[in-house]
Amino acid sequence: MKDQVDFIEDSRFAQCDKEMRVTMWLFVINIFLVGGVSLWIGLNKPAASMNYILGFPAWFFWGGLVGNVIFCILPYFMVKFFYKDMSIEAEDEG
Amino acid sequence: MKWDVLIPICLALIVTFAIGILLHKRLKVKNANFQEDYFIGGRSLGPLVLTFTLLASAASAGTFIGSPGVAYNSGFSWILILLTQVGMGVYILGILGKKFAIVARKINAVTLTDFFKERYQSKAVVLGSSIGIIIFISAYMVAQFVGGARILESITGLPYKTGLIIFGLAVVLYTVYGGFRAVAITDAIQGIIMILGGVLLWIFFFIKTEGFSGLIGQLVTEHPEMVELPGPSGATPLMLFSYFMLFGIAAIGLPHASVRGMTFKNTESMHKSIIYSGLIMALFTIFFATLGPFVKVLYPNLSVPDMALPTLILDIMPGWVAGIVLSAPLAAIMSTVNSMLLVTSASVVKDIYLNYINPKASERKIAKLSYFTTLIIGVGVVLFALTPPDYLQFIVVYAIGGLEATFFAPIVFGLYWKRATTWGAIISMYAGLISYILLGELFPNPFGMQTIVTSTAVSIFLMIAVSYLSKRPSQEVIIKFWGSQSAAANRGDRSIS
Repeated sequence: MKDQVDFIEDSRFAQCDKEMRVTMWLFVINIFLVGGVSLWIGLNKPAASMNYILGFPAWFFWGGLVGNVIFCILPYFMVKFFYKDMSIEAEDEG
Repeated sequence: MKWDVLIPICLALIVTFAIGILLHKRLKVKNANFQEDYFIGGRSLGPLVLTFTLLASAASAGTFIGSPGVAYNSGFSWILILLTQVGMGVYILGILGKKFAIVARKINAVTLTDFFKERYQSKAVVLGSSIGIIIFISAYMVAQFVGGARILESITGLPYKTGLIIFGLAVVLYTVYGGFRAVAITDAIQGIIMILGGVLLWIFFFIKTEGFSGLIGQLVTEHPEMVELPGPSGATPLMLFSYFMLFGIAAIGLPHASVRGMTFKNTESMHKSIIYSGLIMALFTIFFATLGPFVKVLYPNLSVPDMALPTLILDIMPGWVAGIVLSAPLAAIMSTVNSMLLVTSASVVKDIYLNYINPKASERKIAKLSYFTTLIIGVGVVLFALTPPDYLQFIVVYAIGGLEATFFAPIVFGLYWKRATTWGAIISMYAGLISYILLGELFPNPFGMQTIVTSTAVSIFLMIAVSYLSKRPSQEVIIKFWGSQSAAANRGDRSIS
């Protein structure tokens, strides 16, 4: 078809798609880092045999607090290594 | 009436609005048209304001009052569940991404429905989404106001109706007057109040009590289940995964949150905001909810769990500090309501009036109508909140999950998948919503997961299946959304010469 030959994709979108996929991976990391660690240490463990760190159950300290601290740092590296600055105006530069 | 608590709350409110009005005038964007300016702040937000307005619109009274209350009874398993919301801002910005901002500029969208209208070219999608937004979000606003006025009544003794009218009308009038940018500015100020309130709360907590290590022993002896997993809130692996969906990624489907993906000024704002938003949401969550289980040790017999945190605050702090800290939950309510109010009024003006009633309205007429619509919806919401109707609770229960299940697939697939078709969108929207409500009533939590996961999965599956079965979207739509505008322009020039 003639129309389809004419179609040139906006040159910025390949990068946009990549950024979206990286963010999905971050979501997976988030689940394991916070949810996974907490469950791994704490799931079905009775209160009596639990360790406590700074007044928190150990699973909550490592998964909920430390896990989230690490998770809050990750977006910095995600943006630094995978995200690119670009114009977001309607017209691309290509 | 506790004036020492009430006065700082009122002062915080007045100061916030005053700063908002001042800054709003200074930051006015010159060459934006009225709708762009009023409903999305002329696409000009910097990183800090973007972060706070995104998170403050999503974090409502629940984060500050409801969740500590649940944690008061259920313990740490609930706090873990709540912490699944930490990445919400990162996902909304990162997944909608620059593409959403670019496409919104290409098609001149100022609402989510605008995006649907251009992408799917269907009345059923446009009317469905705007009516859904109007019903669900209005009901949710009523519930927020009811919650706010009740908190105000229980902590200061200000009668429910008086509090509601003063507090409600202040928010409504301010929103009517200032539009999106003014709202975003107060969201930022209120976000800072929430964080400062959290810091003060922790300082007083450690001075006045034995601290976490001192209290945990007693908690473990008296309520061992509160430190266990899955614990009383049932945080099994699958359940926890569903909360990551519900509070994290599916928040993309919330129209008042996702519309903020159109508002950043440039990619630098967006990058910084992605970095800040995880941190700030973590602070909001940890500062307030974490205290819930410890309040159980200090005040074991509260009859209303929602009063857990206010009771602690009023007890360990002098009245005026308590007033400042307690203005945080009220700020959260205001910042949720004001952004919802604008989304609803944009839906009426932009999606219904300009699309179907009078497409040729002049700029001045649109402006007048926008102020007026915002005012009427706002006042209507306050009136409903005076005597909340019985069916309200039903709508509210389904509001957030319903919006997510309805909009998640059409937004994400519409944005990233060229093959997503009109019929795919229609079926997936209605199937998401209907399956969410039906499952919620008949078989809540199928497969051991939150209802939202199942109905979002149904919606995504139907989006893909129906899209493949129906005719591909027209080439026009694809070129409009994906095509390079400058390449098209160059080609146009060449063919003429």
